[in-house]
Amino acid sequence: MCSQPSRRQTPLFTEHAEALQRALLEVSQESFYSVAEACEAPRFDEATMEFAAGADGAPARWLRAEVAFNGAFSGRVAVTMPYTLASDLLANFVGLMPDEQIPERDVFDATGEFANMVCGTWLTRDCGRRRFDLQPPAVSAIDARASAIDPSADQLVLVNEQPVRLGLAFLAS
Amino acid sequence: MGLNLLIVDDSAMMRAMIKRVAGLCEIPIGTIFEAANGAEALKVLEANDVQALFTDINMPVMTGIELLRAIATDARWKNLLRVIISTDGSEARRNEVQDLDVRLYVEKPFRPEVMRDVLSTISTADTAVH
Repeated sequence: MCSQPSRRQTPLFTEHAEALQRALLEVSQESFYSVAEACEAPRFDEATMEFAAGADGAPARWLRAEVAFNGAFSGRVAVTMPYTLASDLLANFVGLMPDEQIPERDVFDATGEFANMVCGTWLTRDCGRRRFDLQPPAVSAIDARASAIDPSADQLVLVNEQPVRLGLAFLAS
Repeated sequence: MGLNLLIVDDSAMMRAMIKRVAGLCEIPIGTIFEAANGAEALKVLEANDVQALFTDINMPVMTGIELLRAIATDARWKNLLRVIISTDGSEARRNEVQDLDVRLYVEKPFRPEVMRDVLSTISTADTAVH
């Protein structure tokens, strides 16, 4: 739950990690018809290896969406996932047919909206009495191995058996 | 004649989903307009006859709250049905929109069935539901 600002302005990551992960599970299941579960590092690494290269052996594309939030406290949430998962999530959300072509810009947009929903859901559930403003998501293509905003603090999740990193960083106030 | 809708969201995916659900509903829908932010939405409203507005809150250029405030000051849109669709379901935000004549407040994430029910509600009910 939210700390009272009078006690401490910058919250601790550990206070919110579980709630943030719950938000990701809820968003995955409710809106994207996807199965999500927390997982341990060995299993996550295995899944990451599986999605680190494309069919041609070249490095696979991953996407990272960051959503900055400002309010009683400020920071950013980062969600990192393989491009293939982002594409699947979009298809589930909009209800696309399996053979429908999906433009790249739509996959980027879906990744951003997914992160936006995770961030907004977390703040609403965990700090529902306080107001936060969310910035539009910033989405970029990255290398799978450079995906952590804080490797020691990232939470590891599997969504439809594909690896998703969930990061949270607070701005010191 | 069907309801003309305006969907305002900076996510093309969200607009596509709402549009798709609207198309599958059994209620008569006229034209579905789209806008990526509040400023674009105002231009659409100026140029077209729209009966129902679905708007996100956090958007670049002009937010949903700013859009709703602009609409509230113009008598031309006094009968426009206003629905917020946002990840921000905080008490603070709900209080902020209390005086902006918002008919429904839908929190993301939601399933398509929720949007179908919302469309059904606004097409038939005349009572304010919050």
